[in-house]
Amino acid sequence: MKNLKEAEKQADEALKSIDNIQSIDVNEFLYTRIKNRIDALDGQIEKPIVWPLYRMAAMLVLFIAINIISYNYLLGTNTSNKSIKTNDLNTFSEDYNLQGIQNNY
Amino acid sequence: MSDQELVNAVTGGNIKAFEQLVNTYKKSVFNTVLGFLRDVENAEEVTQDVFIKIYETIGGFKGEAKLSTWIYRISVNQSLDYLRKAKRKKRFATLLSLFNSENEVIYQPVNFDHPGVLMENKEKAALLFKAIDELPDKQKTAFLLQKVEHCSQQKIAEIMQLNEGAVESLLTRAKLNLRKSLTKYYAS
Repeated sequence: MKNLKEAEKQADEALKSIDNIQSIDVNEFLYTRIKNRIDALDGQIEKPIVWPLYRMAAMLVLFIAINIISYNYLLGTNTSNKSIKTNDLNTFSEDYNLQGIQNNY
Repeated sequence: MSDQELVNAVTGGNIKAFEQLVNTYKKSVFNTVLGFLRDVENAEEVTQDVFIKIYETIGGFKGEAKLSTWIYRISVNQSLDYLRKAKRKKRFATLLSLFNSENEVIYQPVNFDHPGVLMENKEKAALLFKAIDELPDKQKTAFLLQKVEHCSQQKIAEIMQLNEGAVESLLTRAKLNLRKSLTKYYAS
């Protein structure tokens, strides 16, 4: 029992041991270290955001260019096909004297 | 510069304002973290983490609480996160040690000698800090904010987002648990 009383007294003293605790100073280079870490983080943040944007823009330009080229190519092919067909028909009608048949009714 | 002006300046990317914020709050952040971690080197690391977190999230500060309250809250959360991760690592290392004897030393402060404690109290304070480490998180937070940072019950309530009655109850239970644990130590 005496031991318990003594232990409780010591426990109470231990509980009071940090009552007058003093704040301690921080390392004077704290801000420099924080700044360095933030700068390093900023670099990391920029890469994943900026690079995909460049890539996406490049992909979009390429996609539009391919579409324009394909459209122009197909338009050109159609026009030349049309003129070839007209020439063939004219030659055929001349060979068989079909010119002006529609007027003989 | 008022707190809100300081926040606005930092949010606007003013790095000088951020430096001012660090210089204003670094001592209270470091001492709060040190109370939890009981290790100067790791406390410095976590203090840096706290300010980086502040830098990243200050845009979300709405001014509903005081800036100091918000910063204390981040300090407490970062410290508790660090301790949880350290505990997980320790458990994992214990598990690994069953299969492999070559493991790195895991963070485990023993008999912490707080530089701010008076010389004649150092031994008792080391025991007290060890006992504090065994407390549940909420009791530990309330007790450390009161004893190390000398915060009022109202301030602790604001930081922990509880009412004052709940804080009083946490402090009473913390002191009872600490007394029990220390008595057990001294009686053995």
